[in-house]
Amino acid sequence: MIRIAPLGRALAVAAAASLALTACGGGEDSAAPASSAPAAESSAPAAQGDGVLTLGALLPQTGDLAFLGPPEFAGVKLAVQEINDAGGVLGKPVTEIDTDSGDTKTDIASQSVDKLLQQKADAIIGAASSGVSKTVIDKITNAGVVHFSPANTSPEFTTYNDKGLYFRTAPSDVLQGRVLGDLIIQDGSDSVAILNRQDSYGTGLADEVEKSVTSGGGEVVAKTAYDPAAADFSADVSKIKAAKPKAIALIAFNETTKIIPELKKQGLGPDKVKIYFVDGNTADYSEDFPKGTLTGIKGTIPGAAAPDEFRKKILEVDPGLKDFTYGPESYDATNLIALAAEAAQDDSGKGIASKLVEISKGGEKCKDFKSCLDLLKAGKDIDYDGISGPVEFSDAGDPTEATIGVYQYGDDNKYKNVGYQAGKIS
Amino acid sequence: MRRAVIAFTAFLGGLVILLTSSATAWAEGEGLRGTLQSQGQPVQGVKITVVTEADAPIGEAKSDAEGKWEIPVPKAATYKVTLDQATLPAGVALKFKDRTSLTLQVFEGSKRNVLFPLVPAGAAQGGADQGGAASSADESTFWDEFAQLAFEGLNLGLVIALGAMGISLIFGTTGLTNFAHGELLTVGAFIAYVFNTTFGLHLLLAAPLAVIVAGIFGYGQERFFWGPLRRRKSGLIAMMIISIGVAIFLRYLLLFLFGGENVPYRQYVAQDGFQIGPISTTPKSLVAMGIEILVLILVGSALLFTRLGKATRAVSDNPALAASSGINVDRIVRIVWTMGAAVAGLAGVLLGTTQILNYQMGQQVLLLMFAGVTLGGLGTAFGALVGSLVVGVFVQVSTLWIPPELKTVGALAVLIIVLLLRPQGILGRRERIG
Repeated sequence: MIRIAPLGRALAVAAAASLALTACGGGEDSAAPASSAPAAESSAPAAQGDGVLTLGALLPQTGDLAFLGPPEFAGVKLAVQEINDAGGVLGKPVTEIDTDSGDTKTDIASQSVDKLLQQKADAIIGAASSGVSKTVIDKITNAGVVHFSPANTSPEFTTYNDKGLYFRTAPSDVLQGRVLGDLIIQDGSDSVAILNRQDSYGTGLADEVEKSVTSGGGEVVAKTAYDPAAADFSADVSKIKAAKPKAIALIAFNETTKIIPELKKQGLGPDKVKIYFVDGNTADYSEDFPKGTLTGIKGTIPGAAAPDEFRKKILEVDPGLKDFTYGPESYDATNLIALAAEAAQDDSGKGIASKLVEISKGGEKCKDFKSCLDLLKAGKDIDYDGISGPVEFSDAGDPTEATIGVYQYGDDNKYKNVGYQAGKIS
Repeated sequence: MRRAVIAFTAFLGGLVILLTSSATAWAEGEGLRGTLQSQGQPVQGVKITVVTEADAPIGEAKSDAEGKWEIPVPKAATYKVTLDQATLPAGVALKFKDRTSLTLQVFEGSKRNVLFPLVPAGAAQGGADQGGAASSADESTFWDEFAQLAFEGLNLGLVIALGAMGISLIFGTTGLTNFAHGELLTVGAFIAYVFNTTFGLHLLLAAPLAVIVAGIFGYGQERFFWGPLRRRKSGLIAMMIISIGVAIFLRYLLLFLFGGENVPYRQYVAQDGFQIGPISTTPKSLVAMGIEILVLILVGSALLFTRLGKATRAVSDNPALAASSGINVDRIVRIVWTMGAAVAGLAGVLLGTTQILNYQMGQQVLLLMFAGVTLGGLGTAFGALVGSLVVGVFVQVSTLWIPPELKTVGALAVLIIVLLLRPQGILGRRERIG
């Protein structure tokens, strides 16, 4: 033991040194030189930021929700582009740092957050998955940085102790569950099975769907949570089959590509029962399944239709986009953060958070960064209405009004919009 | 025809919603609506009444020729909707007798759909004989489910067995607990994927090629990596830790190369199922199981009846004694690695065909493979086979009683119980002490 101690000490010193070295390395990358921070503080005593608004994008490049990544990144990029074209925030261009959020099975998100915090991000936009956000929310908010998700829908975050720093432009699943349940009832299915992921997103949404279906006169005959990392889903599906449902709500991410063949195998394909998807799995499956596999399946995604003009602009940023899911929400999130920093005349996380609710409602309406900025500069109170919806924040940082899109799959395994349902969440 | 009707109604619905939402979101106001149907036929002339929570009447309506009814309400609140059973036509009854009225909330700006499930009269009537029939129906669904799950268990068990066989032989001949064996499955599956998609070969051609490449990969690992490590007398624990590192390295290499999304092969995706008695299955699962059984029999009989197999078992029993009786231990170990990796690669391809490809697919079954190996008796090839089948069947069948998200628990419980009673595993030999 005695002989090990000096070695241990040496190791500790080496580890500390290497940490310090990496910290320095990170500092060099960071857009803001450390010396400018005290200068900004001395010039404006209220402001705590370093004068440059640094946005970290923590969005899925890999993992279960990788299909949601491209439109979200493009939304952030487009907004940053427009903000910088309009002169930036507090007179300086906004810096954007892209990182990968991975999924709940990997620990990529927390490494990405470390990297972003090291580079002095003032606000972090992400993650797409509620499960991932839950793993990093404490780390982000403890650092006094705004955590702003364009796609988290788990009802859990409404009441989570986030120190007033968590916001989102995606509506809580209370609304999506309500709309999906209503849709199932409207289609006349009285016995419904719910197959959901065992995580904060899946169980939260499953509960809301169940509530909506039962109160509407239907019956939930099976509610099965599955382990997303399971080797196969035959047991889960056979549990549902035993309940003989007329409709199945499948609350899943990318496991859908594994579950749909299993459903078909056990005689529960979309030609036999009505199947409903949610925002986690309503994606383009034209590469994954033979033609006609998904015909007739319906799905819900929070968010209004992206206007053509917005689609055109976002396609210029990323011409390879296949769909626009959560693109508008990411765009709005970025604009809101930038406007809040302007309104607070402070780019620190706390400064931004103090103004976000205020600029989202009650005041003169404006629809993009430039016009909102002009109003702000004229000393007016603004109400930002975004592409994704009116974005009126509740005090908990949730949108109180939102639209849920209803989609249906065609023979080509791609989905088309069949309608929108707006609603308020109190 | 039905599809056309659905598409048309969906189109109309979309149009209505689009038109209304374009002005102000929900100018038409709140309401309650529904469609009454019995076995797909509309039910006409049924009276529905709506009252507030305080029993103040709001309105009533009769279902029209299409079974539809709609009652506007003044504001978002909770309302009680009642169906007048006396107005139901003869031969039609409520599915849930006790649910003639529903209390539900109407939300701001939206029409809430209400469903009164209807069935032909008689089907809903309770009674002793009906109850008896129901319970016997329950019993038959129980056995149907049991049969299905046992079949799925066999299916899973066979795939696990293919992998476990390799783990067991490698452990037997070299003493290495190879935690990277799950990744050998994944690597095999993705090699076939490259042949299948990049080179456009049919899966039937890509699969054997992938098995060969996986075998070469296994040979290379032993020749250039594990072999030298062993010759340098690395400890078994150190080698085990190294294998965990190899597993992580391979897993994330695959993540880097192929991304984290599930990808399918080009052929045999989402096949329609068919029934064999109580079991529903797909042609591809049956073919996969056939191949698995064939390969297991081949490997088993090779071990039992060929010179090479005998030599392998000899090395497994006692490497030093085998070497001194003229067996080239290094050669045997290389062959074991090659065959083990090839069989694991095959398991990966079959798993990818019946399920889907993902960089974590091997890791997802690794625990089950180890459970199978340990259960059967470490180092015995046939023990691994039996153990894997037991684990596979237990994982699936246990979901009859426990929630499916906990299904691996059943298998691990069996593992613990068996090892408590028979520490050497089902087919393992008692280890000599001293």
